[in-house]
Amino acid sequence: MIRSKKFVAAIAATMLVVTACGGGSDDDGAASSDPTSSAAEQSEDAPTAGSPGGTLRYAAANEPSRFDVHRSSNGYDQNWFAPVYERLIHQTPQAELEPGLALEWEFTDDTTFVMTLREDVSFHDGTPFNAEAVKANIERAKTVEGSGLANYLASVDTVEVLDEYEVQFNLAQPDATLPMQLATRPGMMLSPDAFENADLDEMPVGSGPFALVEYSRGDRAVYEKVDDYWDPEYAQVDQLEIFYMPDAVTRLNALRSGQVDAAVLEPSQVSEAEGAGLNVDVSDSLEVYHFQMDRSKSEFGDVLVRQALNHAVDREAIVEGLVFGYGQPTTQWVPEGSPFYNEEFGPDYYPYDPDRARELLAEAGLEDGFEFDAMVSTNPIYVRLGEILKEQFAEIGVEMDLRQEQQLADAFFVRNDADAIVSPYPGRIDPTETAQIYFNDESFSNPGRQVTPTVKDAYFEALIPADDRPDAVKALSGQIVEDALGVPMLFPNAILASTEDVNGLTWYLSGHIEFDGVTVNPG
Amino acid sequence: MTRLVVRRLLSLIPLLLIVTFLTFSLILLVPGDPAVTLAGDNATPEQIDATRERLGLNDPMLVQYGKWVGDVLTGDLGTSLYRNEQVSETIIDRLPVTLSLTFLALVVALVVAIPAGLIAGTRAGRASDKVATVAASVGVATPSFLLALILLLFFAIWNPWLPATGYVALEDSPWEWFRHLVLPAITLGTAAAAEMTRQLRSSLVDVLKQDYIRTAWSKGLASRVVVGKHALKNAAAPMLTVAGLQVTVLLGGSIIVEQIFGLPGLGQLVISAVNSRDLPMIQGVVVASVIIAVLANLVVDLLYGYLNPKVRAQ
Repeated sequence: MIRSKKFVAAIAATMLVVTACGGGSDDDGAASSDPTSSAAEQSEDAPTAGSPGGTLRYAAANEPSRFDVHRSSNGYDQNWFAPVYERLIHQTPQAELEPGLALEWEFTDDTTFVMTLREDVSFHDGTPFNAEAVKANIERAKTVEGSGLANYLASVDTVEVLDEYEVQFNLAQPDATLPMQLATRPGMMLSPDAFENADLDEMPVGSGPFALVEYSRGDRAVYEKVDDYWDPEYAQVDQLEIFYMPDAVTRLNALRSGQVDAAVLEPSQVSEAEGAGLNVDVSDSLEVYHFQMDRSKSEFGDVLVRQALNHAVDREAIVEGLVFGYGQPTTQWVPEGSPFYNEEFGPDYYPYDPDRARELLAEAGLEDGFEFDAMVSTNPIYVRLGEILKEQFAEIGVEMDLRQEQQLADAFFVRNDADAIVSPYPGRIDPTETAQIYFNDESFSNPGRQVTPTVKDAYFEALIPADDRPDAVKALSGQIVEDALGVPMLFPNAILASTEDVNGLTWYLSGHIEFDGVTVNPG
Repeated sequence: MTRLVVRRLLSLIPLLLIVTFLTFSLILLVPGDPAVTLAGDNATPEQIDATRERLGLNDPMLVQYGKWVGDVLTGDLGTSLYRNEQVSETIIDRLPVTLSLTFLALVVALVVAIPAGLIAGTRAGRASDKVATVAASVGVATPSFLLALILLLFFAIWNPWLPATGYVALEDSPWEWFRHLVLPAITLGTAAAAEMTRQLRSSLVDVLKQDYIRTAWSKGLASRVVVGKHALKNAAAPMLTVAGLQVTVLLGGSIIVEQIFGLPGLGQLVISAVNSRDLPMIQGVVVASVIIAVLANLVVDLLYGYLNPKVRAQ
C-alpha cells in the first residue's frame, strides 16, 4: 500500500496564483519546455514505468450528467470530461495550477484578468482554438439554457478578445478564485462549431489528448488517443475505457476478475483488495464530511449552540468507526499543508468534550437541550455517519430527528425541509470558494442565507487578488471555524485500486482522476 | 385464436393508460424537483424557476399527463429531461440486455424445474421428493444478491472461468454473450426454478390421483406414456401460468441482478431515472415493461390452447 502524503510535500507556492502567472512555456508549447508536468512527477511514484500503447479500463462510481460541458450538472463529470475537453488551466495531482490551453495568466487589476493562449491548437473537428473560442465558450457557459456552470462564472461580466491569442476577462467584482475555476469544468473548451450539435450530450468535441469515439450511457465511454496533442507525454495508452459501475462490490469484482484495470473503491474494501494482490493507493482528498445547519432555524442562530455541537462530536472515533481510519479529523475546511490552512484552528480547536458542550448550551439558556430535524441522503456511509452523530448529540441532551432523503440538495436548499443535513462536500483548495458556496448570504447552498458579519467581511477581503491574499484567505478560513458556521468532521481518503500492470495512476487532490502519463502493460 | 390475440392487444390500451397514469401520479406525489438537479450544482432560485417553466413542470398534473399521452399517440415517447436523448432510442438500446437476461433466466428455470418437478411429483413422499422440495424452498428463500456473491466468488474470482461484470451483444459474439450472462441468469432464474418446481410437483400430484390416470394405469400403459402424455400435459397448464407470471417477477428481479453484474440494461436505466426523477424515461421503461408482460402472458395463453383443446374452441 502506498500512502501518499501529498499535502506535506505539496501545493505550496504555485497555489498562490493570485498574482502569479503560468510557468514559462514557449509558444511552441512542447512538454519538454515544461519540466513541472505531472507526468514527470508521477514517474517518481512509478519506478517501473510501463510502455506506451494498449487499453486502460477504469471503473468509475458516478456517470456523467451529460457530455455538453456547459450543461454539466455534477462536479464528478470532470473525470469523464478531462480526457476530451482541454482546460485553459491544468491542475497537478497536488492541485497546483499549470499551463493548459492558456500559457500565462494574471490579474492586471482587481477586476481585470488577462490570459495568453497556446497557439496552433485545433479542436478535434478542425476548428482552430483562439481568443474568439474562449469568449464564445465563456459566454455560452454563462447563458446556455440549463447551464451548470453559470454560477461559477458569475463574477465574469464580459470577455474581450485582445488579439488572436490574448483574451481579457472583465469582472463585475473582484474574484481571485477565477483561475481555480478555470482549472475545472468552467475552463473546459468546447469547439464553437459544435455548440449547435444535436448529439452534444453524448458526443463532445474538445481539443484534449483523447477523443470520445463511443458512449453508451450507463455503461461505458471509449476514448482514443489523438495524434497531434501538444503534450506527447500525456496520452500513453492508445485507448481509454471508463466504465460506470455504481456499486462498489461490482467494481472490486470487475477488478479481481480482470474486466477492468483500475477502480475507485470504498474504505471497507481496502483489506480485501490488498489480499487479492491489487495495488491500493490511499490518497488524501479535499472532500469533507460535515454537518450543515440552516442557521436561520432551530437554535442554530446562536454561536454558542454551534460551538457546543462542535465540541459534542468525537471526530477521532468517527474516523476510526466510519472509514476504518482512512481519513483525517478536522475542524477546518482545508487540510493541514494547504497554503490556506490556518494553524491556529487545528483538529483540536474543538476537542471532543461533552461537558464543555453542555456548559456552552447552558450559557445559551438551553440547559435542557433542544430538538431539531435533520436529513441525510440514502447512501449507506452517510446514513451511518448520521446515526453516529445522533448518538453523540444525544449525549449533550440535543435530540436530532434524522430521516433519509433521496434528493437531499433539493429538499434542503430549495424546499428548506429540515433544520440541518449530514452530507459530503467535494471540497475546494481555496476556502474562499467554500465560503462562496456555503457561507455567503447570496449562495444557493446556504438555505437560511445567514452569515456572520465577521465572516462576510473576511470573505470580501479574500476575493481581492492582492499580494497578501494568502493571509486574507487564512483569516477567512479561521473565522469560519471560530464562528462555527458548520461542523466539519473529517477528510475521508480516496481509495484507488489497480492491477500491477497499471503505472502512474493517481487520485488528484481536487477529488478527480486524470490519465496523464498512465501506462498499462499488456496481459 | 386471432380473436384472443386481438382482444389481448386491445386490452393493452386501458392497461397502459392506468399503469402510466399511476406512475405519473406517484412520481409527482413524491417531493422533489428535477428542475433543481437540472439547473446545476449551484443555481439560483430564478434559474431553477426558468428551468421548471421550460420543462412544463409548473403545469397541473393532468395537463402534463395529457401532453405525454398526446405525444405517445403520435409515436413519440419523449426526450430525457437530462440529456438530449430520445427515450425510445435509449430503451431500444437497453432492451436487448434485459430481454437476454430474462430469457436465459427463464431457460434456467425451465431446465431445472421440469425434471425436478417430475421426479418430485411422481415420487411424492419419497426421499427424492423431499430433497427436491427442500431444495426448492431454499431456492425460493435465497436472496438473489447472496446467491450472486457466492456464484461470483466460485466462478469468477477464485476460478476465473466466467466474467464478473459486463455485457457483450449477441450479434457481436454469441459465445461471449452467453459467458457474460451465465451467472446473472442463474442468479435470476433460481427463485423462478424453485417456484416452478413446486408448482409442477403439486399439480402433478393432483393429476396423478385422477380417475383417468387410474384408468390409464389399469389399461397397462407404460409409465412414460401415463406420466409424459396424460399427466404432464394437464399438470403443465398451471406451471405455464406461473411461468407467465414469472416473466414479470424476473423483469423486476433483473433490476438488482443488473446492478450486481454491471449489466447496462433497463434495470440500471430505471434506477438512475427514478433517482433523478426523469419522468419521460421512467414512463418509457414502464410502457416497455407492461408490453413485455402482456406479450408474455399472451404467449402463455396461446400455449394453453395447445395443451387444452377446450380453450382453443372458444
